[in-house]
Amino acid sequence: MNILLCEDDPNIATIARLALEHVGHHQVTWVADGNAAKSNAMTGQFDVILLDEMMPHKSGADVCNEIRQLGQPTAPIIFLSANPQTARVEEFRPMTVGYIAKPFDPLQLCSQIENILSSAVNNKAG
Amino acid sequence: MKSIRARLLVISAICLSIVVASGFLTFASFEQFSQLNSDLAQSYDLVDAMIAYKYKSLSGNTSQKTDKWIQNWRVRAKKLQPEFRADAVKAVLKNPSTKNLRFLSRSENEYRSYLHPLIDYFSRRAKFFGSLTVASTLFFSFGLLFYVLLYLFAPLRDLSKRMEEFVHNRYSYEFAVPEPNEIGELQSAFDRMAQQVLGQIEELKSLDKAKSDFLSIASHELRTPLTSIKGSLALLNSGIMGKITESAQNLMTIALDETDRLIRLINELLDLAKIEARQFPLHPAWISSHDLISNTFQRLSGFCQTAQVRLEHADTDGYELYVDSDRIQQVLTNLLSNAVKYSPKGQAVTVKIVCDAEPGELTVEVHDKGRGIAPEDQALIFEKFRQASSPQNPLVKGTGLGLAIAKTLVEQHGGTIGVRSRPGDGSTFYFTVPKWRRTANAQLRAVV
Repeated sequence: MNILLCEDDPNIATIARLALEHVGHHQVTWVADGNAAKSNAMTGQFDVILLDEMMPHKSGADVCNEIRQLGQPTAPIIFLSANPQTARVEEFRPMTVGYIAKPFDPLQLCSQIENILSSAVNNKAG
Repeated sequence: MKSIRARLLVISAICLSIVVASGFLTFASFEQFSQLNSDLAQSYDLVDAMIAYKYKSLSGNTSQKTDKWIQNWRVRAKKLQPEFRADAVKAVLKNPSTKNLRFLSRSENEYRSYLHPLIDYFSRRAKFFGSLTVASTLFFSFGLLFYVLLYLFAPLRDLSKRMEEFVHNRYSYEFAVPEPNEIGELQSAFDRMAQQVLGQIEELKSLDKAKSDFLSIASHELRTPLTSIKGSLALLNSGIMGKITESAQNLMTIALDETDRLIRLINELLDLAKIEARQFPLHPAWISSHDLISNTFQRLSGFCQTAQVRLEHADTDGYELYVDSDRIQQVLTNLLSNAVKYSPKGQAVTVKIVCDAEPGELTVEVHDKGRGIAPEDQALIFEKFRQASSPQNPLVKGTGLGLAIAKTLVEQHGGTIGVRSRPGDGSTFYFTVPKWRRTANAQLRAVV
């Protein structure tokens, strides 16, 4: 899969990239702020977008909201959040296919993404 | 004079004065009427007495008693008014002739004809003033009652209504200009109290927001570095970055375990803080008991494998529970992980659903065959940072918060949580779910 990783913390980004590339053998593009996240997401070249909730310039929730408002279809979005129960994240949950809570196990990251995507497909079909 | 008390005093004084005055006049008129009636009766008695005296004299019946009687009447005659009456009586007492008696009789008739109109007058006057007293008493009573209802009870009722609205409308309040009287003073006092309460509510709201912001920041700042630490250790330990020595791998495993333990502690501390700050809103929905239990078993499969304890379930299918699935899964996970921690190797932990143990109630039970809990510990274990120690079992490295969190979450759902246990005989932890239904009939059984 072609994955867009939007994460401002370079350490977490390194770990996630290593896990996705070495364990899942996926192709990963990394961006570190909200504006780059939005512009890359709009290109439509990705299979899934991992979006961190708190980023510089624009939060993940705002990126999600702006993308949906533009009405352009993008890849499914999965939130990465240290605090998935906040009201703000809950507000944007319907625009995503799921979330992965931090801290996550990098060895399970790929299977978590696959589970979320297959659940989303099943829900859509149902 | 805007004071209600002053107005009431003045009105009451006026009313009372009028009632007392008319009452006094009634009494005075009645007194006069009685006196005149008495004089009238006395006049008749006088004539009868003189006639009786005449017949006694004619019969020659004189005695000492008679002399005394005559003396008495002479004294009484002096008091008679007008004077002609006294003269008439004296004349009869001196000489009880028919002529004198006739004169006496005429005098008394004249006197009585003078009395009759007076008696009439005072009778009418007494009735008039009596009626006036009754009417004024009734009028002023109703007037006072009307005044009290209009100027006292009506404003009090309005004020009471505004106070009720203040409480029931989540403390929204419209301030009004108070009247310059006692009710206005009461309203001003309530307005001041309402302002204070509203101010304190605003302060509490901003404190709540500050708490919420702190929890959000703390959550992010604690979990972010842990993500890097756990991630790095996991990747190194897996060998993806290259082979490492066995002793290095052991050290990695220790570091990973402790990282996981730290993560659990932070998660539970933050969860408990959020629950206590009422920032854990529930999102209940209908979920199947089968899905709840199988998802929880899946999450704990690795942990159970390490502990060499089996997870089993009985009578758990066929129900739907109206709960927040994430939160109830957290409750069940906490109970099951505790049960696994305290179970001997090779044993099983069983989840069972019991309904109608009490009418309408559904209970989820977790049975283990551990060493049991002493009665004195059974109430304490649901408190924060309390746990039974188990030096034999290395898995018992809990935070002491799991049951406290489970209790809070169950109670948020309106249920109860508890334990039945005897030392040496295992334990059964249970929690109830108020709203549930059977999937076969889909009958809603909600217990409030």
